[in-house]
Amino acid sequence: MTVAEPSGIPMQGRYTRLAPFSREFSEELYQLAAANLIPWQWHAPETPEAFQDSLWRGVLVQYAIQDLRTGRSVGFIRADNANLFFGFVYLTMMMHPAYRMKAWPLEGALLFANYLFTKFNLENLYAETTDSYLKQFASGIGTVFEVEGRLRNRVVINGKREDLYILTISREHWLAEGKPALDRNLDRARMRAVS
Amino acid sequence: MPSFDEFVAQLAPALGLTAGDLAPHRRLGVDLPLDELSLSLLLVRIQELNEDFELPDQIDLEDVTVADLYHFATVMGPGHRERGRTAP
Repeated sequence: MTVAEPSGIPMQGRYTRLAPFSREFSEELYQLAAANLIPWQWHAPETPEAFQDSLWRGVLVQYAIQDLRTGRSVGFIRADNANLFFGFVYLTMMMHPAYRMKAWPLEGALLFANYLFTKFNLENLYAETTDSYLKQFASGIGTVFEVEGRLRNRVVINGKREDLYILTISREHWLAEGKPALDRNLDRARMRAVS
Repeated sequence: MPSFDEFVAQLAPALGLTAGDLAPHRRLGVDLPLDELSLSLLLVRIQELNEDFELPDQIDLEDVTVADLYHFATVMGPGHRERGRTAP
């Protein structure tokens, strides 16, 4: 687990920063998962203990995404099931329901992807999602990420079977699309800090 | 400051839309085929037009109309956003 800011890798942008989990945020995540407001492992956690265990199981690194202006944790993002020999990890990102469709929290994903590709010299970030969640960011297919695979009727979400998609952000894609977008945001953040 | 027509003409291509799609009354996440990533791209494009642009964090882009967005993009700056707020 890495909680300290590694030298030279930006952990703060114009709107957000990546911050270690607080106990309060872990508790809030549990409440959201238990209420089925975030898709924890595609189903609600059975017990608080099982949730705490799953929160850290297999994790390479994870952060809360904090709103710079308020310090509020608005989402969380993590890399797990890493294979550093072959250069890949699985990425999970969840936004607090109150912060969906605001767009600016996605800056946290750019910071985190940059952190992973820089620190661990990865080739691929994989992520899994389902039909209903893919709709929230489907415009990124072919530009931000690729759909690598589709497992039909793999999971049950709210009583309905859904396909599970495996998405990939390759290093090549990141360097061509993601990194320039992050750099522009960081430049603006620096300009604001100076002015 | 760009006119409304200039504003939508600059934004539409990046979103895969036409300027005609961005009628003033249309809501971004309801009447237009924009998902969260598209809205994020929209923010980036607007910041390229107005370096000081910052959307108030209380606002859901989903329900914002194109006319509202034009207003925000042309008048909103850091002062609007941070007034009364204190980061820890």
